[in-house]
Amino acid sequence: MSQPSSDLRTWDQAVRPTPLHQRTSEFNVTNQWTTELGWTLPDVYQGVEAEHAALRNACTLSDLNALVTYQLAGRDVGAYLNRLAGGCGGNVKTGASRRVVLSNDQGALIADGVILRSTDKDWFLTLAVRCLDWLTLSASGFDCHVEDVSEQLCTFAVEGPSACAALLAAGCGGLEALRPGAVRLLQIGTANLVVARVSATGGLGYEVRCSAEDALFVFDRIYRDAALFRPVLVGQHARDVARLEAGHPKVGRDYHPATTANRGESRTVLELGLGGLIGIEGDPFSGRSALKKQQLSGAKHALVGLELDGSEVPVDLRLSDASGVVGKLTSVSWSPSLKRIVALADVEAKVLGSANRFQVSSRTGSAISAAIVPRPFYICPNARRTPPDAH
Amino acid sequence: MERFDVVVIGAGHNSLTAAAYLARAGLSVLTLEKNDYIGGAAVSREIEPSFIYSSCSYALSLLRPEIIRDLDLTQHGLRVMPYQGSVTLTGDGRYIASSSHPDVMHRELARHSARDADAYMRYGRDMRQQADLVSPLLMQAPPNPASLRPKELRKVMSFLSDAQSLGRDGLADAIRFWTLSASDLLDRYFESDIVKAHLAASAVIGTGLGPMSPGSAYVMLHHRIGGLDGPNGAWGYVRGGMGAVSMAIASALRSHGGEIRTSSGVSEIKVSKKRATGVVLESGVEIDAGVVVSGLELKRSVLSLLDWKELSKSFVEQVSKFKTRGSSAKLNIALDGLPEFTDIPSDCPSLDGDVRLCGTVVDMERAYDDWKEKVMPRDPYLEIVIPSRLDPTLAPPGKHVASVFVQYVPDKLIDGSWTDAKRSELQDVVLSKIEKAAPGFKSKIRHVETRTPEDLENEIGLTQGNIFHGELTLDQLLFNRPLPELAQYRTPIGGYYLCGSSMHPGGGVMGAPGANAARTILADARLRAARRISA
Amino acid sequence: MSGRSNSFDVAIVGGGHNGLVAAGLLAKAGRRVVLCEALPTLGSACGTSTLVPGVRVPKCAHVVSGFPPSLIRQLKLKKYGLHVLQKNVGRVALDPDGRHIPLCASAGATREAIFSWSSRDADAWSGFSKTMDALVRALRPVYAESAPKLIPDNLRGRLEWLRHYVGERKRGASSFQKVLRLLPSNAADFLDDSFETDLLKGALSLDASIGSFHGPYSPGSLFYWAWQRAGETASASGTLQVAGGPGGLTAALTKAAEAYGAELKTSAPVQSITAKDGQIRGLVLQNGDEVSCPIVISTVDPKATYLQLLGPRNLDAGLVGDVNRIRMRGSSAKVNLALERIPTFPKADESTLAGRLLLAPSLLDVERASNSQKYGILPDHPVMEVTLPSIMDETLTPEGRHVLSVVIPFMPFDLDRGWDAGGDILVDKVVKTLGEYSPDLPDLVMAGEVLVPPDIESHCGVARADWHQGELTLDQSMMMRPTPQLAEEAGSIKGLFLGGAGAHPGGGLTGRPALHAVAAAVRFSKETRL
Repeated sequence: MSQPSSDLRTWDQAVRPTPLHQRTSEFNVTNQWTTELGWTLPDVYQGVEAEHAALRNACTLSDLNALVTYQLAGRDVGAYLNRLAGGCGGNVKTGASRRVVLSNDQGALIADGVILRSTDKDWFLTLAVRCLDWLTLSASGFDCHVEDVSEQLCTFAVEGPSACAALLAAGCGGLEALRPGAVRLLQIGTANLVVARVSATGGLGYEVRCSAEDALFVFDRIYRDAALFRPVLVGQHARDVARLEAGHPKVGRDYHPATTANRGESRTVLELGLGGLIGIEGDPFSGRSALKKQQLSGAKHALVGLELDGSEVPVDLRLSDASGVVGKLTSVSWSPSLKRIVALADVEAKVLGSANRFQVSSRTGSAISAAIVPRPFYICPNARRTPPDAH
Repeated sequence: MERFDVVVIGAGHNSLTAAAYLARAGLSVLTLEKNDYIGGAAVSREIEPSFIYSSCSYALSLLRPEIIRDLDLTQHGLRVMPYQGSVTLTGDGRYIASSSHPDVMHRELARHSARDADAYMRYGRDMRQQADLVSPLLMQAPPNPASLRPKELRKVMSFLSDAQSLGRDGLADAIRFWTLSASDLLDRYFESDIVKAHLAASAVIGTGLGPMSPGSAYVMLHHRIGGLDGPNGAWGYVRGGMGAVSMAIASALRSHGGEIRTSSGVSEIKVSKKRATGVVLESGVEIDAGVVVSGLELKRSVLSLLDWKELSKSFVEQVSKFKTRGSSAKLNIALDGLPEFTDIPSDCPSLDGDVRLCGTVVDMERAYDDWKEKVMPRDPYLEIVIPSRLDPTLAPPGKHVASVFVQYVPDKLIDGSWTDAKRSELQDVVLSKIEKAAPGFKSKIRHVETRTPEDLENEIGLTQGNIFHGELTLDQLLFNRPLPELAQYRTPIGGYYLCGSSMHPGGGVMGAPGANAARTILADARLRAARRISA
Repeated sequence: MSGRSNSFDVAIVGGGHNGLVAAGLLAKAGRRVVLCEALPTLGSACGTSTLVPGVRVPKCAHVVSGFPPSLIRQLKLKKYGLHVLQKNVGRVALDPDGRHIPLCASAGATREAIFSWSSRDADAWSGFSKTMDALVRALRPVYAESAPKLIPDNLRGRLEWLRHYVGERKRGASSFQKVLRLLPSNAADFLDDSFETDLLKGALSLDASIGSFHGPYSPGSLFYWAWQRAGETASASGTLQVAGGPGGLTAALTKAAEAYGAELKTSAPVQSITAKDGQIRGLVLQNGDEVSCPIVISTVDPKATYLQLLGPRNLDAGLVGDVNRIRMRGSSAKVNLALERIPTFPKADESTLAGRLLLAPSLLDVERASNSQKYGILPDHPVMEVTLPSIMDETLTPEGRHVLSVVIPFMPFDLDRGWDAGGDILVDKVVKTLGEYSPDLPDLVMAGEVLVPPDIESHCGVARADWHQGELTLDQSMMMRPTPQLAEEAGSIKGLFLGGAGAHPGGGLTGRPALHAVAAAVRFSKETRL
């Protein structure tokens, strides 16, 4: 059985501050906060446009603690992760990472996340959904132990074209050689860091992990030593916009975890367009036969990217074509990078491949035209270059 | 001789609800109650001056929102205060303080098992989905699978087609919720014994089943189908005590022209040519009626009030076999101060809700096994609520009323009835158990009264002390409740209907049986009127 | 030795009666069949013990309940040595003072016996029997079906369902309603409503719940009882006693299967079932031998089949979880005694003693016995089913000697004090209880053996000593047996079929799971032209 935490008075704080709260609250001028996974995070520090602009053009810092990090140990970690995640979750070399999706027996998405292997024996799985239940069940028959280490860690993101330069200035020597997806152990002062060149926002970015105790120290050092690069604190809202531009679905909006979704709400990995993250012809994984069947019979739904005319963010999320309502928008936002409205939408699969034009209702009831476009909506130039461009 | 369109027997909350709907439809309605107070088991009593006990039922969840709306109960004074959590004390130092806030609840469960904290979200979703399946069934008469009438067949087919649309796994889930024991169902989600004990508690309330008995999972579901505060099956206190529910319904009834007479017990129903024509009071007074409705428990309604000559032998037999085994007792206590439980900080907000003194599921099961032997309970399950924590009208400032629900108390002991001495013994068992968990509790007691199942029967007609007017097992639910022949609120006597908790959808302060019966009565009246017109 | 590979059409895991039936049927149909049994002997629960030289007793199961005569004919078992000694073996409510109540087909004898206890109950007997029959009749078609679906999803299934519904409804609304009300109900209330005689209710409630985890007060116990009866009475011969005990059935099945060409391997435990890309490839034995075949029928319990032989790594995690959650707690123990001569039961002649003797003084006694199982302890007063097979079966013992076979239900597999100590305590309790019914019996015991649940698992190959390989509750029956998914498609592994008690319709010596598995396997091989 898992270790009970010593926090006996759970009612004292319904939603908790992250290890970075002391600093983020100082910067949170607008005092706009949001809640994710039981943590309180800044939603907007100063303004969405300014923060997004910094993310795309300069250097930013973000609190990423609204994630669950599991540590895995045992002889069979690789095999376990393969069976857990698309048949390929365990194919991660030391010093590498991999985006993965976890599916249940029906192929429905439980969570998407990242597997990081910082050393030979140190495997981490980070997800936006708590599912220790499923992870433990999946370990039956494997020598693999799964532990939630989120409380011990602090995770934040350093993103933007100047991110690498900023971290080098802060003492992360050799970082410029880190290829996309690679993971390295580094130090700032006495603090040990796990740095992964991974970003959900589509551009150059690094996820930095340190112990919760070192959180403020590391933050201060980076903020101080990278001062020349004027790092900007970026809240959830701006990051979500950038994430949408990168075409990544967000849990709770674009998909509902199969473990807690209501009837009819869960979607398979294929329906969410995440088939690229699984190896359907490879090693067995939970949901593989169901997904193979779906490949043959065809899916009922699809998550698609849309571009909308005009500049109004619609409130009525229903998507229609000539025949009627065929789906609904799950995420929609003005994209500062593209200067248009982009959205993800859950639609009936039958509308794919046709030349249909779609529409959404505006506030006044008139029709806003929408068209299906491939994802990602926006590709950051040279985001994958190694060494990264200086800025 | 007085004549009314409808005479309603009993002024419990279901009777009052039926009466109110009928009065609202324009009928002249007289409600007759044997006690000098109304409410049945939803009643507030001031036995110790300035202290208001909810002497039987003690919390509200299941009262149908449709009824609150239709009868405008809020305008008539109904005010409900949801409480945000409950506390389970296993007696070995551990506790769970549940919270309606999902993040707090998650961390609270994670203290005992991180896996269970995650599984709880899945459990909540599954429970909610099951409750959603059950809810539409509540405010309507159940389909009659034995009937060949097209209307009934359509209902049955529609029910089956709904079931089919659940898919294989959805249907399997529904079958599990309806047939498994609470313990076995919870084993499918959780590993921790205290988490399971916490959740299994609602399976044992008022039931003649143990948490390890098949069918007890349904009782957990039954306690979650309330719609008080949105879809969460939340529970709350009624301002002024549970009697305020009955008062509000009575006020609605009166506002529609209905009349209520207390101290007017009915001794029999007048029947002529297989139709009910009125009632005879215990005083001998006769009152005529076009329709008679009884909110009493089934056996009382049929066997005590009707002349058996009018009924077939097999019908009488079937009715007498209706299972109403009581298993609960109640203590009402006036306190000079709040109890201080050693195992949990006193400022925990979940203490506003129900505090359970239970062990693990195994301990609850042992209490159930004792109950089958009809011996004095050794270690009963206790559920304590102190509504005065949230409702200032129930006790003077700083003082409190506590309601203690005692589960697995036999309605009769193997060596006879509940004498005063036995009642005292039970009271001692209960108070000592509370004292152990909250030292100093006894010294705060100003007044205490204990009601055994026999007392509940004698005072308010809960046969054998069964709080649901009949056990909530599948053979007595839906189209089987209370009997297949009686599942649609009508009796073999024309014009005589049943509207109490013995009827679908069963017990708890729901009002649905009363509302459904009223709907059936009105439909039948329209039919008769139509026939008369066309004749 | 190791690495030898053999090619077959079908491999069967487990050599209990279901495995042998499958082997016989398939071999007779011309398939190349191999059967692998882990123990040195075939038969599993259908075995024979030798207590002292020349004295044999049914080791585990003691009667053959529900084995279809059509199957006996189909496999020509009589030709291969099956000798039926008794049909419709009756039950008797045994009474220490001799006022036994036979509960058998002859209603007259039963009524007469009950009359000495209660005239009211004697009158109630026929109504009670009628009601039981109605319940059993309602279930029998579902019992006999190969893959029952609660809500069928094709036209043929729907019509079948409608036909069944209308058929039941035609018997009258009242009878229909009674069936709907009783099916989810509990045996104890049904018995309390019908009778007042403790002995009668005790025996019937034992009959109702033997082999189950739940006692007679549990909802669902009436379903379990009616389900078992449906199996038993599916043929007019009911329960059979065969020469040699159920071991005689094993011997005949073995001979038949071998005569038809099946290869039967004993001491050949299977290490794993291999599958690739969702297709069965074959078996690997523990000694390294490999069997190559496109079809495997597993008659061992579903948990072992999926979690040990296939392995959780090769399955979806959700399926692993579901299989893990299959409840298998209905464990029994066995006491077998060799007796110098026939013991004296007051007022019981040999014809009475030739049946299944139910030793259960009252309903509450049976419930109490089931209670203790929940807590992992032994009951104070065990209830039990006893047979003296040597009365009808001369092949078991020399002249004058007898054997007594006792099935004790509600035995916790994990006993709090441990079964090393518990076994002796159990034997003492059993012999003491028997002595209450037959005072001279304890002194007649020449030799004996006790098989506690772990023994039944290891010596007879019955996992968890649960002969149903999974409780027969409403949620683990019919289209949910052993799990909803496996009832449909054996876990989406093509070529794998479940042919043991863990599949529909459950345990008992009926051979039906094997019949269904064989039919499905034959259909599969035709569809895939293998």
